[in-house]
Formats: sequence, structure tokens, C-alpha cells
Amino acid sequence: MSGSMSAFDVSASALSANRRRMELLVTNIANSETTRTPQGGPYQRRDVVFMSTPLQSFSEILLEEAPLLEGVRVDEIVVTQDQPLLKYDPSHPDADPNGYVAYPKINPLEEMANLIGATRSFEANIKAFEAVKQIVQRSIELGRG
Amino acid sequence: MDFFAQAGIERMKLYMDFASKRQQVISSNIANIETPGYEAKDLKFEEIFRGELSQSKVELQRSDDRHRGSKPVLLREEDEVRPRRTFTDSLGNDLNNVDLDREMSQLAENVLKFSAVAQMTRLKLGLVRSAIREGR
Repeated sequence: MSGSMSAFDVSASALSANRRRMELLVTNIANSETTRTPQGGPYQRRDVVFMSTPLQSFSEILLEEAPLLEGVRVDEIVVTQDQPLLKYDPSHPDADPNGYVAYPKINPLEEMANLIGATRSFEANIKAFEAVKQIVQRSIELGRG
Repeated sequence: MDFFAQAGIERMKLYMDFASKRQQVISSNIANIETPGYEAKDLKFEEIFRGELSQSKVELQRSDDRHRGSKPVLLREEDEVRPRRTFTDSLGNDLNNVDLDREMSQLAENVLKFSAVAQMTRLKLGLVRSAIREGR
């Protein structure tokens, strides 16, 4: 649908992209001490890369115009290749022959700060969604006596 | 239709079209607040309004060719206003210059303006309706 209705799609795309980011950040926090993964070795930190996606209307494509609407999507999930943190703990079952255990290099404070940012961004998009809803409602009210 | 044009309804329609388009651009900016390299965009109402003014019947008097006349400048109804890049003070390391506070305030402002014009349109339509019912 064109017009105001597709403005809902823009906010919706941002809501789902931010939700995806929050899921990954929470996964990072949950696994900040995980030493075993199905792929072997300690857990590695993940983050998203956002990319804007034009939502072009038919006439915009036809006339090769710049799009009015730009949504967002998760383009890539990056697994960081940081060196793990080594802690000396010979009694740990995952310790190497020298007695060091490899822990993921995750700073919970950094993850929390990113999580707050993602939450704020999510909230801003809810506000934008509500604003579009208000405009559509006002238009509907024009038809009432 | 001439009747609706006289009641100013056409003009209000033009503004409401503009406001809903601007809403889409603001929504896009907010959606892309964390997209690397994204540039904030905006629509300018003057572009519509100048064109609209030029359609009025009032001609400006000109005593010199360099004076601005009321020649059609830009927009007729079928013309589209395209989003332009805007410059803001906030440019992050990711080359994204969306300023959330600015966007949120413009969002609120835009909704209020739309509501105001929609309300005026309703009142005008009410008058027309009253005339059709012969004031009853």
C-alpha cells in the first residue's frame, strides 16, 4: 500500500531490526562466561550491522526517483574474532595443559550500554509509529460529520 | 472543482498531503538512527507553498524585470517534492547524522500541524454540509 500506510512498514522494519539487535546483545551477556560451544572453544561476541533499505513506490521506480521511505534491516551478523581472555584455573575441566581457561572477551558494561541504546531506538520507533497512526486517524475523522 | 477550491479545501488537502509525506521521511530518519553512513533527510514546505501561491489570482505588480513576480515557481498538484539531505550538528563516527531529539520534536510538531489542518477541513466540510441541508 502506498502513502501513509507504508510509513508503518518503515517503523516496523526498524522495530524488528532493533529487536534482533537486542536479542544478540542479551545472548552476549548470557554467554559472557561460556567456555563451551557446539563449534568448540569459548563463545564469541556477536553484533549486527544495519543497512537502510529503500521502500520504493511503483512510480519512484518508474521515474528513477530517490525513495521517500527508507526502512532498515539487519544486513549482517558479525562474530568478533577477539582473542579469548585467559584465566588461570587448573581445576576447570576446560583448562589447557598449562592450566589456563579461555573465556569470551565480553565486557558486560559495554553490552548493557548497547542494550540501553537499542531500547531507546526501539522506543523512538514506537513513537514514530504512533504518530503515523494519529495522522491516519485524523484523516478518517474527516469523513465523520 | 472550483467550489472546493473556494472553500480552501484544495489548499488544505495540499498541506495534508505534504504533512503525511513529511511524516514518512521523519519515520525513515528515526528507523535509520543506527545505520552507518545514513544521511538525515527532510521535506521543505516552502517548495509546495510557493507553487501554490503562484496559482492564486492575485498578480504582483512589477516595475522592474528583476522583481520577483508571481510566476509559477515550482509545484502543481501533480509535481512531487523530493526529500533533501539536511545538515545537523550531530555526526557520529559511523557518518550517521540523524539527531534523535530533532526528529522527535519534528515528529510531534508535524502531527499537531496535520491535526490542526484536518480539524479546519472538518469545520469547512461542516459548513458545506450545513448549506446543503439549508441550515437545518
